[in-house]
Amino acid sequence: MRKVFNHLLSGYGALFFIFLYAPVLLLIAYSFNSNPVNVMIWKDFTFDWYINLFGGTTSLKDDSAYVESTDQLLAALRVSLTVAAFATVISTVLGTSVAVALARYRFKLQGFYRVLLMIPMVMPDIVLGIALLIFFVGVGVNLGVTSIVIGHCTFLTSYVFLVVSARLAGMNPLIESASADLGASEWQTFRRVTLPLILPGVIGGALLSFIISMDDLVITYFISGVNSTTLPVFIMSMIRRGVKPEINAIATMMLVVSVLIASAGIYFRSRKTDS
Amino acid sequence: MSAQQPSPDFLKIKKAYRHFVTPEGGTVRALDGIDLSVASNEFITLLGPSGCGKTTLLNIIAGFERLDRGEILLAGASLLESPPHRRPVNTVFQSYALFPHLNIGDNVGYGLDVAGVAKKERNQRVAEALEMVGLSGVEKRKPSQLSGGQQQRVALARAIINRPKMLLLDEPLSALDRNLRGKMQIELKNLQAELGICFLFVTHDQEEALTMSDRIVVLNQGKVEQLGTPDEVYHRPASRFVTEFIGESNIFSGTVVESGGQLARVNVGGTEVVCSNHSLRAGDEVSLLLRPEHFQLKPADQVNGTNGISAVLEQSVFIGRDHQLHCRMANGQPLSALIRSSLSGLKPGQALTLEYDPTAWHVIPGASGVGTAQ
Amino acid sequence: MRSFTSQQKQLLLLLSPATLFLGIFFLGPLLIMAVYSFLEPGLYGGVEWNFYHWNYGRVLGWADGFYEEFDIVYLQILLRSAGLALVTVLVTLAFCYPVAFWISRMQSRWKSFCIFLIALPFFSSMIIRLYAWILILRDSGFANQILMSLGIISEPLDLMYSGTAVIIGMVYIFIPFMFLPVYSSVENLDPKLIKASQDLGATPFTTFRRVIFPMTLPGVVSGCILVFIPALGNFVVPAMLGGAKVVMIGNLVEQQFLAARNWPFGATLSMVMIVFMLLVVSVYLIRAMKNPQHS
Repeated sequence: MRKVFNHLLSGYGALFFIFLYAPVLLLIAYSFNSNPVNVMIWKDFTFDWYINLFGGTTSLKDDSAYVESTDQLLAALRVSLTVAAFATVISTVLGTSVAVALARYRFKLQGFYRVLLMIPMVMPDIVLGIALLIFFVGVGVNLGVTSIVIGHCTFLTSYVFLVVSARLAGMNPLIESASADLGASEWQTFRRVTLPLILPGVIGGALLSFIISMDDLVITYFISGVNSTTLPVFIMSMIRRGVKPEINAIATMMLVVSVLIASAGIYFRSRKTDS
Repeated sequence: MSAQQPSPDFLKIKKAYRHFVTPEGGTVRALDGIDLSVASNEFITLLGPSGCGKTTLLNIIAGFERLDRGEILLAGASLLESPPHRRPVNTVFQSYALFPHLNIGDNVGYGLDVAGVAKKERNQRVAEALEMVGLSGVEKRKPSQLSGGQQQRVALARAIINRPKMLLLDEPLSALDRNLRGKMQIELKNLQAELGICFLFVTHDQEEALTMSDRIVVLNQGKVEQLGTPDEVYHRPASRFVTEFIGESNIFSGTVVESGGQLARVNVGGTEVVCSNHSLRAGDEVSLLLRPEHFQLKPADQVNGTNGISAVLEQSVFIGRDHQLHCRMANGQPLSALIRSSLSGLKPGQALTLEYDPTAWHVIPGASGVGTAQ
Repeated sequence: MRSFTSQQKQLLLLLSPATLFLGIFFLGPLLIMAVYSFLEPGLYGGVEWNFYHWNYGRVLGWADGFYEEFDIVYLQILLRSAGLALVTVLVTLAFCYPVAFWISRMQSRWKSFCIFLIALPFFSSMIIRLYAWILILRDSGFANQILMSLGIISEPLDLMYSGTAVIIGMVYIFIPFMFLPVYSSVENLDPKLIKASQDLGATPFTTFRRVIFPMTLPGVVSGCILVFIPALGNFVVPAMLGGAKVVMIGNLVEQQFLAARNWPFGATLSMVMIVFMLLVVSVYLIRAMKNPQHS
C-alpha cells in the first residue's frame, strides 16, 4: 500500500518536471529545424537561423528569412542592458539603505516602511505600469530609457530590500556591539563589519534585480517610448506578428544565457556558505 | 597596573534606574535604584535569575543601553556621556560575537586596527594576547574552525588587547560543557589576577559565582538583595530569596516559644527546633534556614535530647558521593538532608531522626524572611 | 543625548533617498491614478477635470444614462478573471503540494537539484516560456501534430485562444510562486510529529487532516496569494494565448490605455484590482504593520 503510494508520487513528480521542461526543450530542439514554413514540422537539422541572426549568409532564400529584425533586436538588447544596469545600481543602493535602517534602528514608522516595500511586490504589474504611464505623461517626462529605469526601480528596490533584510536578520546583532565595544566608530563598524557581512546579500539582491529588470515585460510595455523598446517587449511584438524560426533561435539563446547566469549565481552562493 | 594601589571606589553606580515597557504594555523595572561600589582589582559577579537586571546593568556600563536616572562613574569620571567605542571597558559576549568574516588574528587585532596601531606592534600584541589565553598560533584560522572553548579564549584575547580598565563578561561560560567550564573558571580567575583589573562577571549560575568571585552582588527584580563575599552569601544569606537562589536549603517559618541564654526554642508547625538565640523574644515570628548537609543521620537510639527532627523518609537518591534524602516531617513539611555515608537498608516509609547543631541554623526575623540577617 | 541625535541623522540619511524616490515615483503615481479614476473621460481621449463617479458605476454595469445601456460586460470580465485566477491557483496547488512532499523526502543532493530546476524559470524570460506553449498549442503546433499523426483526430483542434490555454499558460509561469512557499513549509514539518500521530493510532488520512495539512497551511496560503494576485491582473498570458476570445481585466485595462484611450476608466479598473489585492493580502499587511520583527 505504502509502496504503491510512493510509486504514484514519484510518477506524479516525474510528470510535473515533464510539464515544466518539455515545452522549453521542444522549443530548443525545433530552433534547429530547417523548415521555414511550419516551424513545428521537422525537416532537417540546421544552424541557419542562428547564422542568419548574426548577419551571416546562409542557404536560405531571402524571403523566408527575417533579417531586418537583427539590428532592432540588438538595439532592444542594448536598451535592456542599459536599463538593467542603471536600475540595478539605483535599486541596490535604495533597498540596502532601507534594509539597514530597519534592521539597526528602532523607530515608529518601521511598520509603514515594511508595508511600503511589500506592496510593489504583491501589486499586479499592470497597475503599476499604467500608474507610471499616467504620471509620466502628466508631468511631461518623455518616455524612454529614463522612465523605464525609474519604473523598474520602484519595484526592484523591494526585492533588494527583501534579500538584504534576510541577510541582516541572520546576523548576530551583538557582532556590531562587539565592534563598538572594541573602539570602532559607527562608520568603522559599518565598513569593517556590517558591510562585509551583508555583502553576499547585497550582491544577491543586485543580481536578482538585474535579472528581473532584464525580464520585465508588463511595466516596460506601458512606459517605454517608441525608440526605447526592451528585449522582452520587442520579442512580444515579434511573436504577436507571427511565429518565425528566428524567434526560436533568439529564445534558445536567451534561455541558455539565463541558465548560465542562474547556475553561476547558485555556484557562488554555495561557495559563500562553505567558507 | 597591578603595581598601583587598588582604589575601592573604582566603579561607582549611584541610584541607577532603568525600566522597560513590555509589548503587552506592562512595565519591567530592570534596575530599581542600584547603588554599588567596585574596587579596581576586584572580581565581582552579578548573580541573579533571568530578568533580574544583571545584563541590563552590564549593557549600560558598556554603553549599549542608556540609564533612565542615576550616575555611573569610572575612576571618578562619568561614563554615561561617552558612546560605547570611547569607553575604557571591553566586553566578552555571551555567544562570543566573533567576527565570522575575519580570521582569529584579525578578530583579536580588531581593537588595535580601528585605533590605527602600527602593524608591527599590532602583530606582537595579538600574539601576546593569544598566548595569554593559551591559544598561540591560530591567527590564520576562521572562528568557525575553532571549538567552543577555543572561541571563548579568542573572545577573551580580543577583549583584553585594548588594555581595558575593566572587563565585562556576560555569561561567557554558559555555552561550554561542564568539564571545560570548570577549567575556564580557574583560568579566568588567574587571568584576572595576572591583569590586575576589575572583572565584572554576569551569571545566573550560583556555583560559578561562588567559585570565582571576590564579591557577589545578588540581584532580584532590579534591586540588590545582598552584596558580600561568597562565604557570606552562602552561609549568611540576607534574605529568603538569596537562600532559595543560592544552594539548596530547608526553610521553615515558626514562632519563638522560649528564649534564654545561648539557645532559643522555635515552634515550626508543631515540631520544636532549637537554634542559637539572636536576642529573640517569645512570640517573635522567624524564618529558620538549614543547609541539607548540616543534618546528620543517627540511629534512633543514639539521639541526644532535643537536637533532632523526626521525619519519614520518602525517597533516597544517590548523587555520587552523597545520598540526598527527601523526607517529610510530622507536620507535613518537606525536608531535605544530604548524608555522606554508605547507607544501606534505608527504605521509603522508614522513620528517621535527623540531628543538627543548633548553631548551624541561620535565623531571619519575620515569617516572610525579607528582613536582614543577624 | 548627543549620540541620540547622531543616530537620528544616520537614520534620516539612510531612509530619505528611498522615501523620496518611492514617494514621488511609487505613491505619487498611485495617488494620481486614484484621482484619475474620478475624472470624466474626454471625448477624443484625455480627461475633463470634472468629478465623475460613473467610471465606478460602469464597472458594475450601470450606465451613465445618456450614452450607455445597462450592461454587465465589465462585471463579467472581472468575474471571469477572478475565476481563471482561482482555477490557476487550484491547479498549481494540486501540482505543487504532492511534489513538495516527494522532493522533501529525497537525498539532499537530489533535493537541491530539483529545487534548482523549479526555481530556474525565475531566471529565464517569461515571454519565451509562453512562446514555447504557443508552439505547442497553435493549430499547426506540436500537440495537434502528434494527435493527428497518431490518428486520434483528423482536423486540428482549437487549442489556442481558449480559457484552457490561458490557464495552462498561467499555471506554467506561476508554478515557482506556489512551489517555493509550499515546499518550505513542508520541509519545516518535523517528521517526528507525523510519527507521533501514527504512534497515537491515527490513520494516514487522519494524520494528514489533523497534523500535516494544518502545519503546512501557512505555506499554502502564501503560495495561493502569490499566485492569485498576479494571475488576476495578468495581461500577457491572455494576450498571447487567449487572443480576443479570453479577455481578462488586465487586457481590458490595456485596451483602455492603448486603444480606447479612456484613461479614467482604465484607472478605475486598476483601482478595482488594487482593492482586490488589498483584500487578499490585508491579513499579511496588518501583521507586518503590527509586528515589525516578523516579515
